[in-house]
Amino acid sequence: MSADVPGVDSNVTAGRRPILSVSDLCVTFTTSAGPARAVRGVTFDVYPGESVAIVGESGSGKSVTMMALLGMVANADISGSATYRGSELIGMEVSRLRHIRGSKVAMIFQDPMTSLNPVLTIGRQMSLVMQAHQPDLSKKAARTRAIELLDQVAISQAARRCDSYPHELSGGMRQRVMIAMAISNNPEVLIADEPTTALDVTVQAQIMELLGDLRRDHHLAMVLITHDLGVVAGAADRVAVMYAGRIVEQGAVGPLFADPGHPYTRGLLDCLPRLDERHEIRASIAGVPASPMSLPPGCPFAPRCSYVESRCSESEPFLERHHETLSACFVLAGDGLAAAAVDG
Amino acid sequence: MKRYLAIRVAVMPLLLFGIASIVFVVSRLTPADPLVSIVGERNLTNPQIVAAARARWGLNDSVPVQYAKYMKNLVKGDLGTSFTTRRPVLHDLLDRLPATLELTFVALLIGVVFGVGLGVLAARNRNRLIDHVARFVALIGSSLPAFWAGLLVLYIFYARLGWLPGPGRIDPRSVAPGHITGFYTVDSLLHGDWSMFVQSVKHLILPASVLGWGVVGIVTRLVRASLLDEFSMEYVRVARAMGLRERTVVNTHALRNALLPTITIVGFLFAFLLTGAVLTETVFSWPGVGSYAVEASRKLDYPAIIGVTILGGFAFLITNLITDIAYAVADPRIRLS
Ligand SMILES: Nc1ncnc2c1ncn2[C@@H]1O[C@H](COP(=O)(O)OP(=O)(O)OP(=O)(O)O)[C@@H](O)[C@H]1O
Ligand SMILES: [Mg+2]
Repeated sequence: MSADVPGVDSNVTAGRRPILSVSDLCVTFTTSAGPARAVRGVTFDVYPGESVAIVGESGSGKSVTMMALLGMVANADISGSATYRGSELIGMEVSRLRHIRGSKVAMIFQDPMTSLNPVLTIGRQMSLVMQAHQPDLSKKAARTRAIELLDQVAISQAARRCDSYPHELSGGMRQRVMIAMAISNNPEVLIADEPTTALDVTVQAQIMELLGDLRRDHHLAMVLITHDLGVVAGAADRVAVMYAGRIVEQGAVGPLFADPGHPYTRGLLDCLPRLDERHEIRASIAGVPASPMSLPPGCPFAPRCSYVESRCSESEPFLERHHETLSACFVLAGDGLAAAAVDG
Repeated sequence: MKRYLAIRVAVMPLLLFGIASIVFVVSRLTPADPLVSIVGERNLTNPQIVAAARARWGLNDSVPVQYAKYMKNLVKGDLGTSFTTRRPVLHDLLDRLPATLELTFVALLIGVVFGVGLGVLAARNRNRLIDHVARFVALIGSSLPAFWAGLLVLYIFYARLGWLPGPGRIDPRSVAPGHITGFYTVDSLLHGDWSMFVQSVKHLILPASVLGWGVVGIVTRLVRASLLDEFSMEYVRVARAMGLRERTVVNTHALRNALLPTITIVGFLFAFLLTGAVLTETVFSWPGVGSYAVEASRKLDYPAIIGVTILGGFAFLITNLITDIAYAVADPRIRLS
């Protein structure tokens, strides 16, 4: 099946199995105001060493998707499948899942200011993460390793920083600490959930560069969640664009940027040149994102779409081949336009 | 922070002075006549005795003069002489203070240990049966009158079951350990008197539990609430995402933060317990400052009453200071500022 996926470099996939395979994942929150269908049938694979970006506006279900596969979503119905190296994560007991979290699949979060415990030193928090997966690691060894890791993420005076508290560090440094913590158990997959959104523009670039370096050095697979298509170009091999809990377009970075098959992707790209500030995307595509509490009957993007036709509000489109990407749009994709195949 | 603490220490005498003044004035405003307790009901009709007593205790002076004298002595550390014991109030208080402090410390320990334990249990099992049971047990403590609870446990564990000794700090026929700190548990250990230590601990269990149980409810509620707050924090989610054991997430990550608000109320708890000690000491015939205060108010023993109040105020100021220091030590964000 992987051979059919456009945009997946055959060198990467040849003879290889995905590390992470998500298939038809659905997450429905039970809220007091009724069910909220935050994730509705998401399917994607992550192969060893590659970087996949998940892009979409706020509320499209990016974080929930990744949290669900680590078993970190409460008060929700979860269906579908997510496997790490073949073992099913959905429904796995927490006691077993714990050995995958932070050890095989590590995650870093958006806000480094709140991601660290204010009353424990950096070194102690890093040691706790290491000792969670290496119970025999001595205090001293953990500290030595923590200093080494801080060095690796380019924190100066690592030994001194080890004894610092989070409030003594800048936002960028804290995010570096988070990254050091995430790689401390040599994971195979790093999920970065908007790792730079909360940071200064200058620091953003440094953090992205650091992630890129680490990915190369450690042969890490990465899932990069972001609002910002601008970040994606240099940092990802493939992109999945999410809207209203679904992947609406998926493909390799080049083709997806050059010839998007979904009006939503086009919208996101159209605002790129003007995107010198953060948080601009939402303002640039007219209309409000669909709410997972009340989705329209057909294509959830139809109310905001300039290509809209009558069939768009009748049924929801699924991913189909559009040139070199897969797009879920009746109008632009699947119209027989997609004659040229990538790997044909 | 250091500067702030220095100022705090510097204004303490002023505050104590204020407390002493207020109590002095209030005590002189009460219509009751202290002569009754000085000379006794019978001698009140004997003008000679009354005149002698008035002269001896300085009651002929006007209130402002009495106040000036009192304050002058207070500065020298003299709290006056008790009408009833005829001893310097300061000596009385110093004799009795260790008994009260020992009781209160153990009660505080019991209150905090059980309060934190129940709070953690309740928070981890939020809205489940264990949560409700833990909170109920804690609530009983704060709602049962200490007097009643004291009699009840004495009846059950002393009179009925005979598991624990009755009122008092030690058995009636025992001799107190030689005075070093005045804490019988500590002194007996310093003297190497193991059986005395066991005895004094046994005597402490009931009164300290009754007293301490009163604050278990407060601590439980606070710890539960702040722990639940911490559970919704991002760093807890991160710790879980990093694969930490739930036990580590709760005990090492969340509890550290959740205990900060508890530390801030330890001073308040201590004051609360000191007040509560008055009743508890009475029920358990505990020879502390509490029962002394009860006696003093019954007899209108002004010097003793004022002395106890000043001591109470002093204790309150000290505990508040210690609380602030403890908070600063526990919270690195404050420590450095
Ligand atoms: N615990 C929850 N209960 C109910 N609804 C939730 C819960 N968590 C998330 N949601 C809803 O699920 C939807 C998807 O949220 P998610 O956090 O995945 O968005 P996102 O794409 O990561 O957005 P952002 O860019 O803002 O992080 C949102 O509409 C959100 O309101
Ligand atoms: Mg998110």
